[in-house]
Amino acid sequence: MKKNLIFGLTIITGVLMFNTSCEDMIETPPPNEILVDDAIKSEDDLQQLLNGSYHEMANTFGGFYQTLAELMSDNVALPNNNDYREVYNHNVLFFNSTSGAFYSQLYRGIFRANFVETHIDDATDLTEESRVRILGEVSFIRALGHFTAVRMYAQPYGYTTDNSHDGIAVTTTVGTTPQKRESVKVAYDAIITDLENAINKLPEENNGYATSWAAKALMAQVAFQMGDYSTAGDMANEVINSGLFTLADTVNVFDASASSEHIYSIISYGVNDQRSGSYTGNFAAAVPVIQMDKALYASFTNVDNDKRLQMLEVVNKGAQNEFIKTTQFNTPYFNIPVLHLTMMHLIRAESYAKQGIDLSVATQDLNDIRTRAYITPNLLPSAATASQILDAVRAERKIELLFQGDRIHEVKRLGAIEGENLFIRGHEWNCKGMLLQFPITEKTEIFNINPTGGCD
Amino acid sequence: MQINYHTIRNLCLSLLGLGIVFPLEAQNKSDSAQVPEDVERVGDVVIIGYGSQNRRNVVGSISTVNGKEITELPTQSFEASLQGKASGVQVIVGSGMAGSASLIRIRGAASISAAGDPLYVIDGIPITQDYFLNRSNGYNYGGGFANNPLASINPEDIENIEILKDAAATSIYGSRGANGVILITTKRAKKNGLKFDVSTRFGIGVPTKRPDMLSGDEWLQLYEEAWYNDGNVGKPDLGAIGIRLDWDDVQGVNTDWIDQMIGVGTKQNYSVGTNYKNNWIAVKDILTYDNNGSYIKGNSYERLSHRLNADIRPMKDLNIQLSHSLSRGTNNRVDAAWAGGLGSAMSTMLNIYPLDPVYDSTSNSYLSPLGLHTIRDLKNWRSIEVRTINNASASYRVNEELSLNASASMDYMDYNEYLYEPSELITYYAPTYAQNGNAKWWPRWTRNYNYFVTADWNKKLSDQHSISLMLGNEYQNSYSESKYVENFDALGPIDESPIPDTALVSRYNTPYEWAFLSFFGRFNYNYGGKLNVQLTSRWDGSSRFGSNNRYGFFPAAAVGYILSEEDFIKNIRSISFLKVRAGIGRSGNANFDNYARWGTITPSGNLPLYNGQPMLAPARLENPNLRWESTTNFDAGIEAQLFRGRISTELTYYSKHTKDVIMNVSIPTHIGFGSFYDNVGTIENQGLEFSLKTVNVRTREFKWSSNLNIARNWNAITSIGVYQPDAISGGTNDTRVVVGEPVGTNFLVRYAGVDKQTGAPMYYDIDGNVTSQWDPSNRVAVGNILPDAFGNFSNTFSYKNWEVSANIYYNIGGNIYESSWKRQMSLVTDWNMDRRVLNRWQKPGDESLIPKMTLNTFNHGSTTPWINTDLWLHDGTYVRLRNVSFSYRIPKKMLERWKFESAKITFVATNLLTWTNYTGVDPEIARDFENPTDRNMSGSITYLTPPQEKSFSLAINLSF
Repeated sequence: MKKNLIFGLTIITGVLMFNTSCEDMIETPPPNEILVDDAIKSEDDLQQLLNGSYHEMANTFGGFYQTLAELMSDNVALPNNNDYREVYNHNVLFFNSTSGAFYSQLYRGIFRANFVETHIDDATDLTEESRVRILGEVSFIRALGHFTAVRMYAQPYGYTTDNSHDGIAVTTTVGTTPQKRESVKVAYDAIITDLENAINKLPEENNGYATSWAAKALMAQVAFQMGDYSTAGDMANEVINSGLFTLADTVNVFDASASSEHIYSIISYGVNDQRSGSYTGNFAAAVPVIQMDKALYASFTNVDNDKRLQMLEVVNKGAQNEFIKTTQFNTPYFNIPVLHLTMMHLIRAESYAKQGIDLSVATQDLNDIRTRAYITPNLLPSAATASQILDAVRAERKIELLFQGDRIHEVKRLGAIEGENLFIRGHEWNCKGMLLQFPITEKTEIFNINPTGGCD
Repeated sequence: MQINYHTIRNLCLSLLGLGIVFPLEAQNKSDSAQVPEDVERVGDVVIIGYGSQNRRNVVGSISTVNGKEITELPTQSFEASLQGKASGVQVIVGSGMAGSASLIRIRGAASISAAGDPLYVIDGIPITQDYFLNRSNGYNYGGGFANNPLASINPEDIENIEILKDAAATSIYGSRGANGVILITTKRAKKNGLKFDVSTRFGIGVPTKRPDMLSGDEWLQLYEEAWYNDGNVGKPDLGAIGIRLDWDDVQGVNTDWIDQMIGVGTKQNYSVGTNYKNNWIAVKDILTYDNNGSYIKGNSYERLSHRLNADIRPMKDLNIQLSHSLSRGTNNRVDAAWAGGLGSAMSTMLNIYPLDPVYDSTSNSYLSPLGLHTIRDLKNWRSIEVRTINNASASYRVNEELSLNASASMDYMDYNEYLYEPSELITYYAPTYAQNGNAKWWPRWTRNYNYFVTADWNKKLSDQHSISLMLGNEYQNSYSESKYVENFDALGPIDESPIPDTALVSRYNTPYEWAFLSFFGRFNYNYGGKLNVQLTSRWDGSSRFGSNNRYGFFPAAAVGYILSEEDFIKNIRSISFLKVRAGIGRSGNANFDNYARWGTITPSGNLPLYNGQPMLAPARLENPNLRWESTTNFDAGIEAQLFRGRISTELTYYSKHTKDVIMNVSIPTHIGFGSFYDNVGTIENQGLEFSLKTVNVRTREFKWSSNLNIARNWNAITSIGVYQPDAISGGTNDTRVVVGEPVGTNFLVRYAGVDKQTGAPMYYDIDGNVTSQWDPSNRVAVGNILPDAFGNFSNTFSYKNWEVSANIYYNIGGNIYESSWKRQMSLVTDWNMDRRVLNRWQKPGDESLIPKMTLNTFNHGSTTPWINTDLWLHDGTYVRLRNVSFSYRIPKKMLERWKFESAKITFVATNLLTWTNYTGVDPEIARDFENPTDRNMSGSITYLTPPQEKSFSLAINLSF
């Protein structure tokens, strides 16, 4: 009996030994992908990963973000698209796939930036200079992503006095643990920290990618939204005074000739590698989904004199199916400025006027814009008062940044920071539907989604 | 009682723990035991994993289904025949489409994103059983139909099916046994000499119920009603819903599209079995041709299959078994469900559209859709699966106590889908565009092999004590490749006409590979022929498990006690057999995504450029902790035979606690990654199974026997980690994963009826207050897809050479969710509606569940048109006369004249009658699923799913 047992066991053990030495038999990695450990070895690998993050941001800002922000504002007409209608009606359901796709696009960009940061030490040939720059770019992308998310998915800065109201998830690491919904204050603190980092680490010139000027311009925009006019004015001033950017002759900042104004833009590299499709698709069709609000158009009294308004086209004029579309996006592809010089002039003018400082600089900012915008410009007097400047800058801003996704945030800033009682289509600036809704998968025990039911 | 227990016990002891059956010997002995057919065959040899046991000594929960019961019914695929045959085995038979897959769940639902199907093992190899094999083609459920990996298996090949249900039985399959194991043993030569079995069957099939759609006139009437309800004036304009036909032109057009799609399916089957056996070789050869046409015109499944099984005994102690099958299954495809065909006839194909589309020469385009019959006739669409399953095994008896066994198998599947759309079809969509046809080809092949070796040692320690030990090792590897080829300038299908290089687009998809490496053992102890103790364990390593969990351990212990061997029972004459058994153990489920554990990057070659520069992108997040689902299973049962076998009964209680449930969670988007496989949940199942087989009357000429089984299962998800009900991807049919509720819970806004005055629908908010607004945040758990109980009741009557049997299957409780109603019962759109909508609200004071007709979703209190409420939910209870058969055995005397051994003529009707309160087409629903999660969560949910088939057939079986 013993002999049998030993004989049997020997055979079995032999097979086991054979197998255990062949652990590879159960290692079958996916053939068409690279294992993370094998993929990131050099600076070039990191650079390519970072490019993947920019790519996501490009898809976010190539018209997608701007379309949704415009839909929330009073600039556009009721669209013929169900998801868009919910945005327009300020009642976005958590099943709205467009809002969901936008949200995931944003955070995918942030994730990829975080991924680069996590793996930065995997590149063995990384120089200190590149390391600093890459970390600066990560910070910039993350700040841009979080800033966009908090503006679109949360009530604005200033909605509560201490900004303790619900903000967004602040994602700064790679992992699968669901994050909690941070307050708006925490979100803005994180954005500012990232931007300070980016300002310190980024170079002044970076081949189309983020620079320290882009970070400063974004900081100006963030501070402006927060009502921190001192920082906003300073930052805009620094960017303008860098002398690296000049106001273009054209009123269309999307035109190829306007690139001298672009501080940070999404690059369309060619007709087969273009990132302006979302703009073209939504705004430039024969009968576009996004059309201008007719009442807003009717409120402009100076159309003939305003080169910017002349980019608008009234189709089927007088007929029942009349609509107004912009011709701004009629080229096959173009770069999309996310931060540009006109924006800086507008921020500086308003920030200085709010603080009552350097009013002559603010006046000049406005007059530069007006000189370009009008056939016969009506310039501000050199001794314009702060209040005159404020009125002028807000009027110009509305037209200058039309279809750039600015208006909704402007309404919210004026409501939350300046205490104005503003409405969009009868909905107050702070009503519960005046934001996008999170996809339902965001909801966890530590993450409340936005209230449902829309604005009353 | 004719069984001689002494003989049987000797037989079983000699077989106990033996690695494989020695068919030449064992089967003979089994035959010689002369078990009467109507008695639960306690003397049978039962195939268990890596061996066999005498049924008396089995300590786990195993049901056996005889091959005859499988071939008796003309079904789309063999697994449908398992319905009602074993208690606790839920079989939702697939739709009426040819080759459709049934949904099988053993003892409730314990998986969510990992496949919840049992493990299928044919002659020792876990076969390729992926229902979503063609998923990487982006086309896996093309045409509203998922390929059924079991359809090419020839039912005629099957000798026996063993269904392993509890851990004592399944833990020998370790990480793959938790949802049950279906062991299929193919036929081998049993009788000495040369014998032939010839059979043929002819039949027809029609739907169990025809969809009852609005005629063109009725639809126009509802449209008009909606038009005026919405405050419009003047002649209704169909342009409001995008239809370009003029209102006046469509009056009186009443094309019945259902009629165009549904016909009578014809079926034929021919099979020749050859049996040869002498002292050293036994050969079984089966050649079968089957052509099963469904009632959907143009749809059929054709299978040609061959099997050759040989048993060779070159020397006394060496037994070699060779098994080989080769089959070719051709599915002549049509569109169905959401994809077109019959589904379109039930939805977008309004009866106001004429048979031939209306052409408009000003716009150079068609104003109405191309006829469904034309699309069907023009599309040349086939999926052809060639499959071969082979096994070679050898068993060597070293001496009385030790034997060694080795087995190697290969299952190779070559699946090709060919679709050719001729230019006539393409030019409909672009009349001015001249081109040849479009030919597409989706090939995929899967090579799946395994080997295992076992050593069996058994020892009789004394008169009373005997032990046996089996140790083994197994390795399995499956590799699959696919691509997509398109010829956009084709004159015929890719397999039939030459392809010019210039027009060819070819794309290779990610190959799939997985592997398991396993070690296992089983120890049995028998005391006095009455007490059996069994310990089993398995270690499984798998390519799918994360780096922190390379191997799983799955132990089980069970005990069976044959009380009827004790004197105090032996003295009770009415009890001929009584056994109690109990077991506890663990098994797993590892049937989930092959590559979910890996952290990977997509190479730049597969990605676009940004800013003119290449990019890399994270493709998968590593999950080093990913592992099998783990089910701890307790099972206790009692088996009895009373009154000399006139009654045999079994009662079993089980509980299954499943942890580490694999979920493809849509992790919160802010993590930056869409979804991710993780072990997050726990699920509880417990249940009772009862079966009762009786011989009610037995005289020389007349016999009546009955067979009843019923199973009740309680199911609840007890944890889903930090996630919320909507976090699980794939529950596309409005079922969700809700803690405290069963798997596949209908999670819907509650419908509060129609406002009698306005006709507007009303809903309940989360607190139960009536509201006019539909808001998805008011969704609650309102039902679930799992039945409370199900079972089968069959009766067989025989008189002389005549036999009549009837099988009734019943399903109690559970819900049916009629997902397509959201587009058929509320808004008037470009969808045709079911005639149930005619009972709508029309004027103030009307009482109806269906709101007033409108074209505008805002009138239904919603910003979005397709809303889900529990108005679409129905009670899933039904009773179905599954089959009735009449057969006549030609008397022996007549046969002798023709030298036939036996001859039988059988008439079978299936799905003759259904009793249900469900008002839709068919209450038994296994729809076209999109992925494993959907398959687990969306049974009993219909979305234009074709009804089942009602068939009538005549079969002739001859043996000589």
